[in-house]
Amino acid sequence: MSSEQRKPCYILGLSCFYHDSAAVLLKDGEVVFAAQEERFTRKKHDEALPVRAVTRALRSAGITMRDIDAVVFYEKPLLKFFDRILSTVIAVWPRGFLMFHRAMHEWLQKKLWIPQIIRKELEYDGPVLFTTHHESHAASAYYPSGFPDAAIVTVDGVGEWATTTIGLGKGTEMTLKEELHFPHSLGLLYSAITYYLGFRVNSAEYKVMGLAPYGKPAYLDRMRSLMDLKEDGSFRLDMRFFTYEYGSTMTGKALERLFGQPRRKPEGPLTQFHKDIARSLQDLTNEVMLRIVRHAKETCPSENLCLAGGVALNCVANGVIRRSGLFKHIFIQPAAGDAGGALGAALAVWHRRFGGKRMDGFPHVFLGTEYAQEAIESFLKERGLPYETLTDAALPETVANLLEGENVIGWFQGRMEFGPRSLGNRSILADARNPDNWRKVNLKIKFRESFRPFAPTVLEERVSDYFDLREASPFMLLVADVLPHRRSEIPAVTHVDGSARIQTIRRDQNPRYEDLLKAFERKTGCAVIINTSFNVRGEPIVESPADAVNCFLHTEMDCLVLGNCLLKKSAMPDVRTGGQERYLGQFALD
Amino acid sequence: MPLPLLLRRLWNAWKAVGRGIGIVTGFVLLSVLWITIFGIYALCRKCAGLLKRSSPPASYWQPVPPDYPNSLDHEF
Ligand SMILES: [Fe+2]
Repeated sequence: MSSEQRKPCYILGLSCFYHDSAAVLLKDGEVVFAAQEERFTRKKHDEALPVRAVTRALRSAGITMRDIDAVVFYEKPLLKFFDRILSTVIAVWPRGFLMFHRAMHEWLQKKLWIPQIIRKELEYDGPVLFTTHHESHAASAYYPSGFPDAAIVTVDGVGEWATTTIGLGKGTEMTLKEELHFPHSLGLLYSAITYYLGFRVNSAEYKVMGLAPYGKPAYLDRMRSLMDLKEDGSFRLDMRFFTYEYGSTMTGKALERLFGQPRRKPEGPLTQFHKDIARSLQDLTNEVMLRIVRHAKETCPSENLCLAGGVALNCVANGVIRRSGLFKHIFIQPAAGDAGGALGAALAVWHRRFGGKRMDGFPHVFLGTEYAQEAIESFLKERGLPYETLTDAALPETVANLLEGENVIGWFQGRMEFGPRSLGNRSILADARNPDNWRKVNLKIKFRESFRPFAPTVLEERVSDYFDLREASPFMLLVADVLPHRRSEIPAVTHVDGSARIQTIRRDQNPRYEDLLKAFERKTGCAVIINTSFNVRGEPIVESPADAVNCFLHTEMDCLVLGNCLLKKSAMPDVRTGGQERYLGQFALD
Repeated sequence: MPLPLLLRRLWNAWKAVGRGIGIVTGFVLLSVLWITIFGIYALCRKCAGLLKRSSPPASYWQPVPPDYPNSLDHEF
């Protein structure tokens, strides 16, 4: 058969049944679709089998489940259940009675039947394969990195047993060498303190990271006493302070005694104490991560580092690793959490089972659904919403004019981002020079805590004019300082400690977004804008024009740009903009 | 053939009762399992642990278990 006639190899990667379920479709080793299920079900961190994401993946590739060569699940369920879960039940006995019941119900009813559920729900009768959880994370970072070789570090809550792994990638081979085991987990330590600070676990860890710069490391010594940390970055947690092995909580009285204060009630007041705890935790995390990557460099010598796992979303620690100069190049998987496990699982099988070649790189994350201009216009007509259609040439200048000053703009373009960040296709944008925009976007549009910082998007070629950063940060995963003389120019994206979580943008990554930034720069001389995710607190990022319009109508957003259509709040009929409380009430606070 | 309304209601009521019975018996069986099998094994492990005295190692890193043939096909 000639190569033109050869049927492409399709691999479907799935991560689900814990949190952040996702589906990723590979065609001959290239990612053709990737999306989290939460975007379609509108349930944040949805853990269900990603049936909707799979349906959209198949539709976008024009195939059916019969064309799929392998479905890959991102972890090994039996290893997790018979080895780790049951061992833990025995280790903590006689505590954990209720936890045992809950776990057994969950596993007996669902998690022990994963291949059967996949086959039934997706109407699929081909092979179902399994990678280990941390292999999935490692593969999600190494294979797309474009590096010929790399040290690989994965750090998260827990997979089967592993909570942290170190490995080496060379060509198409990837080997995990060392690991740390549950319950000793940096991810779970971070989650436990997140819980102690009254925030939601597996959801609000990034809030703790944002809170840290307001505090001092006053509790760093006590934080250190929670673990026996070795010089090589390995550690054991002192489990007397944690209850997550056997309880439905993360921490108990022992931790409250250690820090001298009870756990903060969710939505309770945030005091200096909480800020100091957040800062102490962040400093300890930086220290542990730095030791781990230093050990990885010794064990797996390479100039390149690949990072994945939920803790790799901690951009402050990533910034510390970058500044250490241990590695020449660093690639961090933008979907570093469990959603990215679907990508890694599929890539691991592409290389291990199908002997495929490496993908060239991972320049962007615009891998999800998209809506044609005609579909957007017919939707707006159907809803009876007034709008103006702009030409491609007029769009950047018009939006840049609106952006200057105090307007907050919903920006919905092209394919949806994969991973937790909005990077210019499902974003809320505002002028970073206006200090009032920080408060306005936090309190009147996102309805979230006032301390939360905003991230900037900057033209890649101008990043070093504004920030202490001389490399690209296309996925908003690096924190660097705003140059002191620029801080007063872009106050809305300068955090209290002078840092910023930076996204750089380059033409080949997203031409329309780059056009907008260029137009804004021409108009104002400033190459930086605020970019935050297009959602309200507790809501998944918008997926469709309908989601975007709902968010626009029920917040104090001033304008919405849907493809080439411009909607202005001032032109909206009053009747359409009511019902804010009902809208916000749909989403559980995170 | 669709069931008559009355029979359908009876069937639904019986399913609800059956679910309730399932929850109770499941709870009892799991509790017995937890106390007996898991309890005895956990106690033996704890006793064995009391006899073991080991000093903390220099490093907590553990080697990753080697892969085995066709491991991708298996859930373990
Ligand atoms: Fe994970």
